[in-house]
Parts: sequence; structure tokens; C-alpha cells
Amino acid sequence: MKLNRIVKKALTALAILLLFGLAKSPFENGLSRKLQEAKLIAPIPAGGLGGLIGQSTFLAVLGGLRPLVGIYTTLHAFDAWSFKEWDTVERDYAIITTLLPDDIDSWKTGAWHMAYNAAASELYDESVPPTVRKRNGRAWIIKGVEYLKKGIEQNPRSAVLQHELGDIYRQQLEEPCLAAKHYKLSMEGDYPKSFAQRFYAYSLARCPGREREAYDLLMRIYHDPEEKRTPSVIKRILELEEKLNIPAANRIPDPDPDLEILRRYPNAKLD
Amino acid sequence: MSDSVETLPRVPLFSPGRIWVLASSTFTQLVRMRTFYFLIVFAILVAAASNLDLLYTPAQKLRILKDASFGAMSIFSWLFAIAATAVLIPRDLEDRTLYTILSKPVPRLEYLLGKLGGVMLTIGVALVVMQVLFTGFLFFREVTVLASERQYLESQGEMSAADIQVQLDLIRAQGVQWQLLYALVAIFLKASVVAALTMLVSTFASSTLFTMIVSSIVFMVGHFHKLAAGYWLEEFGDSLFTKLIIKPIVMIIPDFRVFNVAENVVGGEPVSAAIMLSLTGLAALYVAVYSAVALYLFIDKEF
Repeated sequence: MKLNRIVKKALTALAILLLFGLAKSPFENGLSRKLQEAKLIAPIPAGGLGGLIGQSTFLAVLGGLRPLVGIYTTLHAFDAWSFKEWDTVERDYAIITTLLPDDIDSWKTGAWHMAYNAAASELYDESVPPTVRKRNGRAWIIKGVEYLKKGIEQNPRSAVLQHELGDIYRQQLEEPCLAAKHYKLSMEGDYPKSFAQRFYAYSLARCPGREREAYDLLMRIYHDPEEKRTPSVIKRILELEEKLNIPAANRIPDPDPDLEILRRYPNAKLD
Repeated sequence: MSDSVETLPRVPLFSPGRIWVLASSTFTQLVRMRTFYFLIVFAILVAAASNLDLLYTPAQKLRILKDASFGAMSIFSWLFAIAATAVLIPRDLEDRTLYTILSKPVPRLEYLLGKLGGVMLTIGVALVVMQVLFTGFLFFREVTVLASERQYLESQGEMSAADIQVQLDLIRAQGVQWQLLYALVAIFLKASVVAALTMLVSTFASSTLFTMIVSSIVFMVGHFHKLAAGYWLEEFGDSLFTKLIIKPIVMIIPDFRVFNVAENVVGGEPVSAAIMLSLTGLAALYVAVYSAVALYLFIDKEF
């Protein structure tokens, strides 16, 4: 008799909870959608972290401990970096940016590790032949580029990421046209760096077929009182004046900054 | 005989005053269990996180401090909600306090609400203290990080004053902001739902351990059951298994992920008052329904 009463009560309680569940579901689902649209809760695709983290970590991520897992992985990546375990660094940053896709600094740091640190480590690895070193180093630079492109897909308005990509194309891959493209995109993004225009102009000056455009821009920068008349601006203008055969009367009066550098530092290496 | 009945003072059926007395005594009971010693651990953690000086950008340094602090607050709040609520009724039984209370004109609803209120009050006070501690550390960190960053950027001589200001504003966005209070509220709401759920379980549980295990499982499942349900629905379609097992589970277990907004609010995502109001409403609804079901199971329970 008592057992019957307990079962009856348990079933009634379950029925109440089920009815409540039915009633609140549309509201809860609507709120969940709204929160995802407002980027307040991250939709985590089931396969998004597949293979990258263990089950317990995955549960922690779903259980509201995403930033803590992010911190742990950042520290893990730092540790891996100190031991030059580049594959671990790459995997850790893939996790970090999957967990925190809006964290621009993490995209930037991850790409920096790949395109600069890992690439340099491979390039100076004397245990392998120079040809292999070069190929391995380039592979890491390309990984850094691909990683940044994913970051840009997630954060299309980020001037910082476009600028970083421009830097890699300019410094690591020596692709001035692509560098110019990304510096230009960074100028159009959110919070562009004030020197982005100058960097755009420097890369444009080295991009075949766009010298005239670069010259006009550099001259605008040269005459703009708001802009810095840096030695690089002067140097590029002088180079373009030669290349474009600018009449002597229209040339700038400044001396070649490299001569001044060499006068001060005779052993300096100039590009 | 009838005269003596008339002279007895009338006892109100529902008294917020009595609930408050029960809640405050529960608060005292929990404080005596040395609950707030956790704050020492929290302070050490925040101090450690604020001194973590790896190769982070200035904004990252502040973000790490915020993530670590709010992560700790979140863990404390739900863990405490489960553990404290699970022990309350069994402890009252063990101390025989329950018999003393229920032999007086205290409705069982008030007893349950008082206990739940006491747990929520303790969590609320602990969260506020943690928030104050954390805000102090964050403010100090923000000031030092901004000063050193300003000095560095100015010394480089490459950026205009306006550009330096933009960079400093980006760092400030990760500093002390009013929005962080919304994250605190979201953590509290989630803990309140967990506490109400644990109280419901404890009204029919046979032991404290059972209550803790069941509540923890429901809490964990509540974070991914919608994700799993999506997979099962795709796999099994509209089968009997789906109708009898999957759908009821999804209906009954709360979706705790909606309360995870703190993660992204801490990251700097703006949150509107309307969304916070919706979240508060949802949490209040859960607490009300779970308390009602708990009362239904508890009302004629024999001790």
C-alpha cells in the first residue's frame, strides 16, 4: 500500500516536471537562440573539437568552464613552446581558438608561434640538410598564414589580424602584393594601426605593376603633416623616382637615408 | 474550552518572516561549516592569476585574470549549491532540529523555502565578496598594465597620441566594467537552479551521497543533452526510443548552457538588460517549479 503511494507520488512528480518541460521548452529554446545570436553562448559543434581534447575536457567546456580550459591550454602551449614542441603548440592553439574564437590575441599569438618561432626553429635546425630546413621552415610559415586566415574568417572586421597577415607576407614570404592587399584590408577594419597606411605603401612600392600607385600614395604621406616622414618613406620615394623616371624638378630634396645610416654605422646591413 | 481556543494567537498560513528566520539560521549553519574558508583559496588564485606574466599582451593579462576568477566563482557556486543543499535536510534530521521546527506551526513549504533561501543567501554573499576581491585585483592590474603600456608605446615614438589612445582603450575594454556584474548575476542564477534541483532530489533521496551524485549527473547532463539529443534525433528519427526516452529527458532536465553567458560577458560581449531579465525569469521559474514538486514529495513524508 505504502509502495503504491510512493510510486504514485513519483509518477505524479515526473508528470509535473514533464508538463513544465513542455511548457518552458519554446521559451528556453528561443532564449538559447537569442543568446547564440548575441554571441553570449558559443555553439559548440559536436565535431568541432573532435580528437583535439579528451572527453572530460569536453565536458568541462560544455559545463561552463570554457575560459578555464582556455587558460590551461594557453599555459600548456607556453610550456610546449619552451621545449620547441611545435606540433603541440599548433594543436593547443587550435583548441584555444575553437574555444575562444573571438579572442584576437590568441589568433595573433598562435600565428606568431607558427610563422616565426616554429619556422625559425626549423630554418636553423642544423641536424637536417639546408634544403629540408628551408622547406620545413616554409611549411610552418604557411601554417601560420592558414591559421590567420581562419581567424579572419571568424573575425572579418579585425584590423589586427589583417595586419599580422600582411606582416607575414612581407617579412616571411616576401610577397609584397599579398602583403599590400592585407595591409589595405587592415586599414578598412576595426581599430587599424596608424602606420598601416605606410606599411601598405611600402609593400605596394615593391609590388610589380603598382609602382605609380605606390608613388602617389607615398607622396601624399610625405606631404601629410599628420603622417611621419620616416626614413623608409623617403627611401621608397627615392627608389620609385628612379624607377618611374620622375623629372628632377619634381623629386624630393631629401638625401638617401641609407647613406646617413652607413655614415653612422659603417657595418650596418641594409636591405 | 471555546474561550481558550479564541484566545490563541492566529498563525498566518504563509509568513515571509518565518522563511527569513529559517534562511538566516541556515546561513549561520553554513558559515559555521567554515564555508568561507574557500575565499582564502580564491584570493590566492586571483593573486596568482594577476601575477601570471607570460608572453601575454596587456589585454590578455587582464582577460586571464577575469577568466580564472569567474571560472573559480562558477565552480564554487554550483559545487556549493549541490553539496550544501544535499546535506541540509539530512543534517536537520540527524540533529533532530527538523522535529523541533516541524512540531511548531511552520508549514513544510516555509521550511523548504527557508533552507533553499539560506543556501542562496550564502552563495550570494560569497559571490559578492569574491567579486569585490576580484575587482580590487583587476583594477590594480589594469592601472599597472595601462601605465606600462603607455610608457612603452610612447617610448617607441612610432604611434600618434590618438593611436596610443585606441590601443589603451582596447586594453581598458578588458578591465573593470559594469558588465561584469551581469556575469556575476548569471553565475548566481545558475547556482540557484542547481540548489533548487538538489533540494528536489533530497526530498526523496535515501542518502546525502545519492542526492549529490544524482544532482551532479543531472547538472552535467544538463549541459550537453540538447547537443546529444540532436545527434540521437538524427540517428533514430521519430522512433519509439526517441519518443519515450530522448524527448522526455530533454524536457525534464534543464538546459544549463543558457546560464553560461558569464563566459562571454567576461570576454567583453555586451549583454542587454532584456536578456538578463529573461534569464532571471527562467531561473525563477525553475526554482518555483522545483520547490513546488519538492513540497509535493515532502509534504506528507514521515520522519
